[in-house]
Amino acid sequence: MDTQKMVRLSVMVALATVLSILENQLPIPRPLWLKLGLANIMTLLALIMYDIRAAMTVACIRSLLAGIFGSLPMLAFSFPAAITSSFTMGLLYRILGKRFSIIGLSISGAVIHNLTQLLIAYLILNLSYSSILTLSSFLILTALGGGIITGLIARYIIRIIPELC
Amino acid sequence: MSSLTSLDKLLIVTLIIIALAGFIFIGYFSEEADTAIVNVDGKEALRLPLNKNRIFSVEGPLGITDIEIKDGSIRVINSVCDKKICVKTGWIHKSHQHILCVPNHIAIYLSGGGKREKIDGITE
Repeated sequence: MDTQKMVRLSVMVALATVLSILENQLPIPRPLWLKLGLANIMTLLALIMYDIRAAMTVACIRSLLAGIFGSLPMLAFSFPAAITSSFTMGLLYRILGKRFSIIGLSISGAVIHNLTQLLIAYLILNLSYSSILTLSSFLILTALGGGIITGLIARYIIRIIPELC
Repeated sequence: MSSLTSLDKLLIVTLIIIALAGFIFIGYFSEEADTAIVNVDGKEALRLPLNKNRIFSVEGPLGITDIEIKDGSIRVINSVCDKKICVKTGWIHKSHQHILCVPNHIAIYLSGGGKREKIDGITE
């Protein structure tokens, strides 16, 4: 790995960690357990700038750091979701290329992220089927909203700093 | 939103349809509940009728969660957990609703009495 790539990825991990901790304090009216997923902006940028490995590295290290500095018990939820969502986005980007815009990628990542966490909640709590149905419908809609917002921000960043890609 | 690709739009529309179908399905099968089921650590710990008012406690891995049943509804009054999402959920009374406390591994479900909706009226 060349030095520039290493430095860039480190900065992205740092920014993603800060975003992920900071967005819990944002005064946005929302249910407590919902997040916009702002840290995913950095995963998206790493994917567009480099590749799936860079994206997964940023997502996983960010998740671990945010767990250590935020709430450690929630790592059981955030870490697997970071792996599956970054992997999905990377895979879709590799297969579909430009046919999916960064917003499509962001939405896919958000949906997979939420459904992974639902699966973990199912494993821990043995959720009832009606709960799974209610939650999955709700989580798909919120992932759509969050995915569009983070995708738009990532696109805006690429637009104002085109040298990134 | 001008530069969405056609695949982006297809994804968005598909997700909206899936979510709406889910909500319609839930709404169709939801009914007034008559029984509460309290799960701890994924296993059924208590099964209580909703027509009898009471306040009780269950113990999860973190500690005690206080629960109240009143007039056909159930809520968590207090919990040892950090964010108190279970307390903020408030009262629930429909069969599709639930209260989850992920940190304390407690889930409260409701089950219906088999009757769809209350009878509109009776003529004699």
